[in-house]
Amino acid sequence: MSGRDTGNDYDLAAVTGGGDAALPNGGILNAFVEAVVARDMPSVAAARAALADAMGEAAMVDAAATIAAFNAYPRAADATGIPLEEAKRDLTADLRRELGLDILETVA
Amino acid sequence: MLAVRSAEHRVGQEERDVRRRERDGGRRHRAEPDRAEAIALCDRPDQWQRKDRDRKALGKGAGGEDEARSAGCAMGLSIRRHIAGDHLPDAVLSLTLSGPILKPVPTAMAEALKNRMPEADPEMLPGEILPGESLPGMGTFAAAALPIRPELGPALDRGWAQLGEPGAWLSGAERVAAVREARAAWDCAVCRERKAALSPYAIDGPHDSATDLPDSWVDIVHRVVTDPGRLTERWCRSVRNAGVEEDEYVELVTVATIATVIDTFALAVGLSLPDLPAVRDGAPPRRREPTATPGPGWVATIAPENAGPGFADFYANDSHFYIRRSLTLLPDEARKFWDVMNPLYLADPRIRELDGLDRAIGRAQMEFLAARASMLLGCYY
Repeated sequence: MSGRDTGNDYDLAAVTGGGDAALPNGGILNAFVEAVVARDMPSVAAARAALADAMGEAAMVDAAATIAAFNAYPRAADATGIPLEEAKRDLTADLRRELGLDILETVA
Repeated sequence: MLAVRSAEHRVGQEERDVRRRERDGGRRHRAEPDRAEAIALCDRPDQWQRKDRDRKALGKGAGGEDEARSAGCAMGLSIRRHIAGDHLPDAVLSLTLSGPILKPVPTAMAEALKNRMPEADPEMLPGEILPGESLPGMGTFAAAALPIRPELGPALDRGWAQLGEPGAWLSGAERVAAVREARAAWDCAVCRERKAALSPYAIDGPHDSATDLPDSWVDIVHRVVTDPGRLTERWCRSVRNAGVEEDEYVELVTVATIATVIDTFALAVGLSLPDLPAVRDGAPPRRREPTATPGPGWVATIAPENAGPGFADFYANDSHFYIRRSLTLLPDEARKFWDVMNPLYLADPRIRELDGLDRAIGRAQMEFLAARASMLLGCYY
């Protein structure tokens, strides 16, 4: 949606493999989310400082907020077993295949 | 804890005031009009209450206390335009009414003021940063010396406090115990072993529990916290077969998730984890939601078409996604969950990049973080 609106191209493979996703400060954001999800506190501190340095403290806070929210949705979804909506499943079929996401559906 | 700069600072304040007045050539300091306005407002709390009512009438949210507190932590001087005496703790009021800041203030607050008041004389603002500090009487997040959006800090504080209140099926004490378990899970040896195993269901053994909650409850909380991506319907059924009510299961998931999310935000931004919420007395109603029906996942939910008049608004703005619906077996708990999540992410995810976001990062950056976090947690949805 975002890229379609702005005309920008993004590297979606970074969602699964890490990297900068061809986003401004993408590498820094990736380091931050990886550190926070891993709860690796020294890495969190370093990534937080790098992010605040590059994008400002407010951006660091909003990045943390998004990461925090997406520590909730997966837990709520996975603990209640909700399926992907049919419409969303159809719309994202190619993308899921390309990124190898379908494996997550059966991994457990 | 109030961190107080050296007494010399306060002693020297008068001298600095004199120097400033000399430097300003006798001009009135720019904070003075605001100070006068604040004092006038405090003398007339009815004025603030009227403004509060007006805001609510316009559908602009609670306003009042939350707004004042947020403004206080985020903007420093702007608090003077937003206060009434009975809305704010004394420490904030002192700060607010002091004009040039004469009284000791938390150092974190002082640092925030420095950052947001570039026009202010740095010598007016004492203090050194003590991470995790907050004002007495204010929540961890609303008072934090960070540019946390005004709607977000109070939402996190409120969400945290609600974890100590009686829920739909669990008491306040049980909910706080679940919060303790959510934290203990990260240090649980069995959870670590399971996380490293090819299948988490191949590893047995008691969790390193921090409470006297039933083992089945502890297992739910620990698994949801440490390995949510590998929960299965079979496991969920086994939990139910062990005697856990479906409603209890959903509430444990909700509490563990909210606690984990708020802790995650705190550690991400560098704040200390909040103290455990205070336990509030009271019995949970333990009433089965009559409009809930099975599915679309492993637990019953309220489908949008079945939502009664008291819950139909929950599905406004086409928010019919299954994730929105997932915890609605307990409608009040679902609302608490989303009251925390909406300001963290977006109340309406349909907003587009160019529509304007009240965020310091772009929509594409948000979606990358969202997708990456979900991927790292092994979430298919």
